[in-house]
Amino acid sequence: MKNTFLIIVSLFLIASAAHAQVSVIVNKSVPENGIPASKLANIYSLEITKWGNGSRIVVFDYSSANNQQNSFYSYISKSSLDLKKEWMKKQLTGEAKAPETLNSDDEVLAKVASTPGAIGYVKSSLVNSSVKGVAEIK
Amino acid sequence: MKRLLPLLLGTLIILIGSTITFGQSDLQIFGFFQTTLTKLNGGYSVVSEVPPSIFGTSQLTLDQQQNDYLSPSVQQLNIFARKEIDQNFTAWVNLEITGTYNSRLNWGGLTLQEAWVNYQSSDALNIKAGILVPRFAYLNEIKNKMPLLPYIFRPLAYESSVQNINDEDYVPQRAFLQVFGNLSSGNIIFDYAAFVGPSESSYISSNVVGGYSVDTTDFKLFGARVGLKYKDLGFGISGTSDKSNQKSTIKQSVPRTRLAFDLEYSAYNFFLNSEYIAIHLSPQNTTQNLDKLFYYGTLGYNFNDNLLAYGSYSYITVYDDLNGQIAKAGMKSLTFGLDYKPTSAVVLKASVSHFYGSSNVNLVLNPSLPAFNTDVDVNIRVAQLAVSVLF
Repeated sequence: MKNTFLIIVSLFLIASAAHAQVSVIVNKSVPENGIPASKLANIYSLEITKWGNGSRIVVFDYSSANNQQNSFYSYISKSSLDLKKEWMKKQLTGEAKAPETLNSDDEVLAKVASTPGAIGYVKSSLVNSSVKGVAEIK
Repeated sequence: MKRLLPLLLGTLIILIGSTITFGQSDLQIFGFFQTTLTKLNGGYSVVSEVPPSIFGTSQLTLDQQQNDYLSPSVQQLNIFARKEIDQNFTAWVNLEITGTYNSRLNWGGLTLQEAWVNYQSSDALNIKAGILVPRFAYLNEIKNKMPLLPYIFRPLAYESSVQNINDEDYVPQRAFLQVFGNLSSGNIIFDYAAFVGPSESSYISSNVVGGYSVDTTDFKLFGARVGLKYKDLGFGISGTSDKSNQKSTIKQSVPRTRLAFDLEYSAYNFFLNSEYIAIHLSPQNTTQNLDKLFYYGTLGYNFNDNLLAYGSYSYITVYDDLNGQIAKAGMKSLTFGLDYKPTSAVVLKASVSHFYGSSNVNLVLNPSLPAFNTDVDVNIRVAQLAVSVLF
């Protein structure tokens, strides 16, 4: 019985590891310490374009779908189609810049760390002290 | 136009030049074009039933137009320049070229659609000043941003290529100042806009001071919109107040109000957009009803991120000026279309449309004779292919 329980727990942990946790990260200049999913949805829809201190929000995303993107979009209840439409609308009306898209977690981490007002999301295991975590998606 | 063209080209060269000079600046230059192939067949007629003893025929054709053609064109080309000047100020220029523009052959037009600077204090407070397209109903602000729209042929009030429809009657075209913003709480977003604009273009003269466009009136356009969005459901109410230039018919500037309701919704890959715009005109010393109505509804389905299909129905009140006699008629359009995106920057579009309407009015052809029963008929079929390209 004890062995069966250990096997189930091990399988669960292996499955969790395969579906990596995602952390939402911001540049250290950003004053916010925790951001709820609804606000993240509005930030990625470009409805919210400024942080609490009045600085512009610079959004980073991935250029092609990956596990992190799937988890993040699901967390903020947005589809890739919804976001692309909203980005194009904001871009063509001049009201906001469409997010810069990057190819890898390392690029997102480096860009968020070096760009004032930046926000992005990466695998939780990669988060380091160069950025600030504001939400974790399990 | 001769004065405007060098100015616009000069502006463009300066903008492009500034990209080269300040390569690392935030200046963005981009744009799009949409080219179309249109097969059109049909037209309209205005026919009065008259006494043969006076007119020599029982049916007198007062106005008629029939077309049958297959025509390629660059429906629209826009070049945008955007610069985030600092944390609060953003500048935006939108040059629009329509109808395969060619000044030598008098084709199409070149328009400075937008040139504004936006001061953003916060998401809740923006102040935009310059030349801008005001936020009114759902489509007005984005009506000319073709890659955003599924349509080749837009709902009737937004399709400036339709004869007998003056789009300025239905929706405000320009503003010079707009205050707008949004406030969010959880999944609910409240947005607002209030704007002031010039009077309609027929009041604007280019012959008053050195060729510059001058609004010759002291009355202006005032308007506002408030909207609410909850997840995939959004709706709004808009209104404007200005004057309609009716000097050529009833010799008046007629106070005009527009009231609009708009709705957008998406669920399970379906999307719905709809608008209802009622235009009320209050002429003095006449019982003539000049009110107008426009509404449309579009229902579509996204098969995936790259392929969608839609059907759209719209209705509009149109007027035909027959030597001072106004024939009021209703025109409807039914459109079905498909859009396919082979890449994120290219949209291939195909659509078929039917424009139709049949109205009956009483027209006075001669003051010494009674009014005659007159039929106004519209019947036009259009098939179109288009490619919309972002660059």
